[in-house]
Amino acid sequence: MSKYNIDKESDVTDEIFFRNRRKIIAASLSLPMLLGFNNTQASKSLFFAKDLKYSTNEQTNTFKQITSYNNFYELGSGKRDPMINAKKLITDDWKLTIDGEVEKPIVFGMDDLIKKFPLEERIYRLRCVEAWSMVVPWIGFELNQIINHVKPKSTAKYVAFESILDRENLPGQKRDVLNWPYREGLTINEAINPLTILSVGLYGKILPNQNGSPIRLIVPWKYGFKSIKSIVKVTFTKEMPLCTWNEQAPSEYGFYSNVNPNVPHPRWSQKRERRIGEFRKRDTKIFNGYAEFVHHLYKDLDLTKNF
Amino acid sequence: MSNSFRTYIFSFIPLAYLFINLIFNEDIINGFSYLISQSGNIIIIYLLIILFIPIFDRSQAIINRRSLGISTFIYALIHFVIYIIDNNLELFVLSEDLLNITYIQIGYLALILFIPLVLTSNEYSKKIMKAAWMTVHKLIYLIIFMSLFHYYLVIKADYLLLNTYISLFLLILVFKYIFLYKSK
Repeated sequence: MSKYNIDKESDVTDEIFFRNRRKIIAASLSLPMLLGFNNTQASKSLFFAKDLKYSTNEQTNTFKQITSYNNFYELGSGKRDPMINAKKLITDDWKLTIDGEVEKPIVFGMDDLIKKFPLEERIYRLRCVEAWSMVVPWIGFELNQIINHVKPKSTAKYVAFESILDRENLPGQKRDVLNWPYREGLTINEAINPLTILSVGLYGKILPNQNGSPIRLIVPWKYGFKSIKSIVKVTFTKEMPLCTWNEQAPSEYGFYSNVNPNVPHPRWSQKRERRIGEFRKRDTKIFNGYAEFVHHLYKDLDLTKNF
Repeated sequence: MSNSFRTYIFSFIPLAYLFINLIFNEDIINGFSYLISQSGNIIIIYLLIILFIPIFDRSQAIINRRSLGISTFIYALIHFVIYIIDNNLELFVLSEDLLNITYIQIGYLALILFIPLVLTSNEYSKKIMKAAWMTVHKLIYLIIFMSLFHYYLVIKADYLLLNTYISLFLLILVFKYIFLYKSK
């Protein structure tokens, strides 16, 4: 199955190859590599450029780690449930609707999206509110590219995101663990920040279902739950939109939810994190280490109140 | 094989399973969180079994209650030691947790309350303490309550397993009331 605009020649970018890619390749975008790849979901590589400005050069987590330890309550609330139930997320003929306070509302199919917006690799840290973290090589494009395309009106102050609702197939949605569908939101300035991307792949291939296929948000300076998965709708709004975890426990999960070691979760500390695969915990950095790119967004905000 | 020895052997099979899984199962990505959460589950299940034994196995022919109690305490110690290692063995971090974090405080308290039960889990203590022994061993109810509360405080949204434990706990209490106290 040739999903998206995929080069037939380059079949699989192997992870081992990927890890040494800086040594092996300098100029080419993707190379064929047909080593045995232990991945049950047959997926193909994407064309992408490499980003050097925003990507970290920290050791990336393995494909296995990134795809076997997930919070994706639609597929179950255990860490391994999303991997186990991955097939129950049906992504055929996916449509992404963009509406609200914009000049040009639009509905994208996935192929159109990938054709329209050139992909690049962003290697980002991901810090979960549960005090663990990973480094993930996402493939995607800046959200501001879509924003420029749909032309927000001056009344658009926030961007609301909505995830898939499929109670029939998604095992996690058979119970109201959260108020489905999952929703998230950003301010318009957060949304146009160049760090904010929509991701359609990781490790050079299309997103595995458990990671939020076919398209998800990545906001690396915020706790992971802000990076909503499997998005069906993006709405530009005048008012601050509803966010699922904020709705679930307003005293624990604020609208901003910026990574901040100085503001503890009411029930646990946020000072340290376990980087998956490491033995010793490490200190958590303000804005997950992305302060230079985002601190200006919050210069007038009291982060202890606007957590 | 005495039922005491058998109880010890069987009660540590899950522990062996956890470590074998940790080593050989490549799907376990976060070993610390796996060991902590699974040992916690075993502790709660064992505490409930301990409470349930007088109802279904009054003569303790199948499970030795005292041995299972001591095993449960050992699991609690392991749970605690993994938590310490998970925090880089750093005294500063641990004391910060102890001062600020409610579920940690409750965990410590439950572990401390467990100690007098373990120390008096023998015939000699029972003989010399007489009625006081019963009072001390009623602490098990408080320990179960605190364990459930400790678990409640780390859940983000999915309370299904906790609610199952609470339902079992309440059911056992009702059973105990009906079968043990009313029949007296």
